[in-house]
Amino acid sequence: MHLTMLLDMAADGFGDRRVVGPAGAAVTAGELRQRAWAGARVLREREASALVYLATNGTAFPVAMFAAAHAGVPLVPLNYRLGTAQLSELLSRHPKALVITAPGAHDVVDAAGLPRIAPAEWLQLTAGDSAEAVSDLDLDSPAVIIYTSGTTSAPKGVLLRHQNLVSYVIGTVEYMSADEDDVALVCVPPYHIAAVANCITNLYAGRRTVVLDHFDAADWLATVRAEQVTNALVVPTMLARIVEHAGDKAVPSLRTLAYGGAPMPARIIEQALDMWPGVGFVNAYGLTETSSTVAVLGPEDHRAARASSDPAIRARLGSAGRVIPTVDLAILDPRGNALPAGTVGRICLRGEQVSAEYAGIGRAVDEDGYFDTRDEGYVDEEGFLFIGGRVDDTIIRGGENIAPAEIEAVLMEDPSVGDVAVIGVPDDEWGQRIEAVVVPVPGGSVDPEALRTLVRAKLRGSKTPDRIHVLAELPRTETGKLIRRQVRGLLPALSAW
Amino acid sequence: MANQMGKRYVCAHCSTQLLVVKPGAGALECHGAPMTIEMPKPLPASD
Repeated sequence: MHLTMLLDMAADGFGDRRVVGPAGAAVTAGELRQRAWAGARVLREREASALVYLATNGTAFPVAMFAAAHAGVPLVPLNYRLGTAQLSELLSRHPKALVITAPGAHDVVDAAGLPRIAPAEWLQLTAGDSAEAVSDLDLDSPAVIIYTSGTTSAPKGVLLRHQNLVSYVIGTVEYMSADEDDVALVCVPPYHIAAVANCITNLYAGRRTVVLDHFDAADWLATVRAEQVTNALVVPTMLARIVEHAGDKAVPSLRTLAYGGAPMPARIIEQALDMWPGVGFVNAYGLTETSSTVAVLGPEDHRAARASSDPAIRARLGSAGRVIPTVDLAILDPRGNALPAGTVGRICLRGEQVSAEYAGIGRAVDEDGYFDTRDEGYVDEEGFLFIGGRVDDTIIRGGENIAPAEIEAVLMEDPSVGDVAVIGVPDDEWGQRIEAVVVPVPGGSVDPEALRTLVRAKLRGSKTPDRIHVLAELPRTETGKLIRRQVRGLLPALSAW
Repeated sequence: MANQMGKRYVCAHCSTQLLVVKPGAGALECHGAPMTIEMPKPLPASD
């Protein structure tokens, strides 16, 4: 199983279908394969051992992915927002790479002594129809390497093997299931697993993918209308901006909106459901290590939860849905014993799409093949998975384990709160005490004492933040994931209420 | 005929499941009978 097989199926089965790019300038499946072949020859000629992609998303990205696959080298999408020192260190791990990067954008590439090529130049080089497939495909090379930084030190390279990505695609997508007019809008950056996964699932389905490389609510809405987008993928902070947007929010072409990458505040998804009753919402939970999605809360699950009077069913709106058929889920205790429904434990996953393989380290799976995500959670009686939060973020106050996510969810219920982070701060008496950083909704203000009362009323007194700080913005990644360690770093400088 | 690109075929007698990745003229058989198409349980489009 190899990524090139997916491209062959697309090019042979629907070669004339437009699969990448905006309506006026789209590339067909057949053209994409031609470009992949041409790109592979460039990589072979230049003896590149990897293809680093250090640029915004665009047509150059899928061409890069499949050219690398044909050349038998890994694609390495890097975060273009990283600082020079971090980028320099990551580039040093790929000493013979060819780097796709806009000229002048990254002097660090030249400093690293690596050859580079601009995305536009890459597209020129791979154009034309005279290319032929390269022979002697290297089946062992990883398909994609994505660097993920945990809460500890250096970023780890997750090795996504062809087997992982292809099994994910054929396990979750039906070949050529999209109509000719279907259009997918992607606005996550190329170094995020969702962008990699989206590229190949949309191709296999025969759905044209359009990219918005810089998110802005007005631009997103305009693009959905102009391109008649039927399927879109966003992260929760983007949906929050869209829902808050003052202008026209009609999206008549949109049939499905998928989201993931970070927890979705209940208030936002409820507003979105009410605002767009004709749209099917999909919550997708997954990790880089699992080639993206392992659990899905589908459109009917959303509607059933929203409409139900049964609290257990309503609660499912805050769940990650049910695990997909090709993945095994286990909720384990610290010793590896399986826990029953309703009991919180470590979320562990097994399946062909689960890589859990880190460069230089190997596969992080137990003797039964399970990967420990280091997320805590539980399943309800019907198998709906509820995520509690990262194990590493757990606050231990007076011997009690407290999940920040639980307190954050309560604070987010207050309409004056736009964003929140709850963290543990070293405390001589308790070990750690709880403090919260709150961002008011645009133009609004918060009442910290009222917020503490809210938490005390909904949760136990021991879970009430001792202090509430107010900030204009919280540090989040481009895909809206909270950077908790940076929040901790901010606290000493803030004066608390 | 059991040979369409991208379709999955199953055998009525064993657990063999095949995915067609390259179209061809022949039809897939298992245990002496043509394999039947497996209709996928569609998952909502997500990543």
